[in-house]
Amino acid sequence: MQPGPKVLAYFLGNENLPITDTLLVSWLAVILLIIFAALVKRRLKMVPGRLQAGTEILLTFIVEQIESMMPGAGRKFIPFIGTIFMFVGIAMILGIIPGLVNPAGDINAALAMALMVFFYSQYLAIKKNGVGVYIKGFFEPIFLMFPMNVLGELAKPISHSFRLFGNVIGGGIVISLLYQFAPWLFPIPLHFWFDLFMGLVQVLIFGMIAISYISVAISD
Amino acid sequence: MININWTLFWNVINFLVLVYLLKRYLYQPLLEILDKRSAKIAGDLKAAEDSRAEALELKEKYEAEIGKARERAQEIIEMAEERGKERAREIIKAAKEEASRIREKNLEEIELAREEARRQLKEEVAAISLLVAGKYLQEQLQKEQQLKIIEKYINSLDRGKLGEL
Repeated sequence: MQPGPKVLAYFLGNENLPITDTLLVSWLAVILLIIFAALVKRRLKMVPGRLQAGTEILLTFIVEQIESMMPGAGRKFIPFIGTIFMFVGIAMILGIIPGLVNPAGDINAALAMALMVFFYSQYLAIKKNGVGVYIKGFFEPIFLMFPMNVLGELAKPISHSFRLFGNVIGGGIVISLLYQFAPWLFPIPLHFWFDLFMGLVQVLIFGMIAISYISVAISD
Repeated sequence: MININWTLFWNVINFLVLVYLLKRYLYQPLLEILDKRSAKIAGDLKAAEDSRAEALELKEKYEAEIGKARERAQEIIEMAEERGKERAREIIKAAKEEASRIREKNLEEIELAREEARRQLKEEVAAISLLVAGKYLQEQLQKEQQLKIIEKYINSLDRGKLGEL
């Protein structure tokens, strides 16, 4: 048993540019989301159909999550935060399909998003208060705290990404173990438990943490 | 299991592309339509509220007009009643006057008739008295004549035909 992404091929034959199964599923997720967006957009009506109504509920839910931490900023951050929710969400759903792997089970995917959140929040912090205040913030409450503050900030994307990655990979490992012990009893309900339910909880957690990092960054 | 490599870069690209495309094709149109719907609902609600207020106003106006019309009708009825009573009074008064006039005229006529009757009676009585008197006188005269004739006859009898008896 070897959990984690498997290299399927190399981009242009370059061993430094591997193409993994999780990357392929990521692309699939992107393509599916784009098709989904196109479908929804094409059928947009004042009186919504089921698809539009469902999407509206999802989007309103995400906006509400953002608004709960950053009142009034829901519309501004919906593209970024909404994409995190939707991408990780569809990754979890694709993960339960036999033959496909969960892209969030690849640290590269989780870290990519966590780094985006990290850089975006740093950018917002600098944009809001200026470089001086931003740098000064690392010396609060006293200058001795500078290394701690820097480490604390750098730890954010690591803890953020590893939380998601660890949960997904951990669920996968537990299921793999149970497959070996009792293949005829556990797998299907457990798939739903670990991959779908726990997965969707992880989506919520991952998204909420992203929101909280951004809200901390733009707070005074 | 944990192997950070170039797929991280691909994932970043994935994510950025996805943010751009979803923003353009999903979030913006959907939020726009949500706003439009909110605006429409707010507009519709306002329009409904306006219509309701207008309807209420119209209702009050009509009710006020109906009230006024009722009052006017009542006034007209009262006026008509008053006029009717007035007219009735006039008619009764005229009738009474007419009746009294007729009665007086009748009384006059009766008086005249009575006078005429009295006059005629007087005349009649006078005539009858004369007639009776005349007859009486005539009778008296005739009696005297007859007595004279009888006496004459008797006297003749005495002279001529007495012997035969």
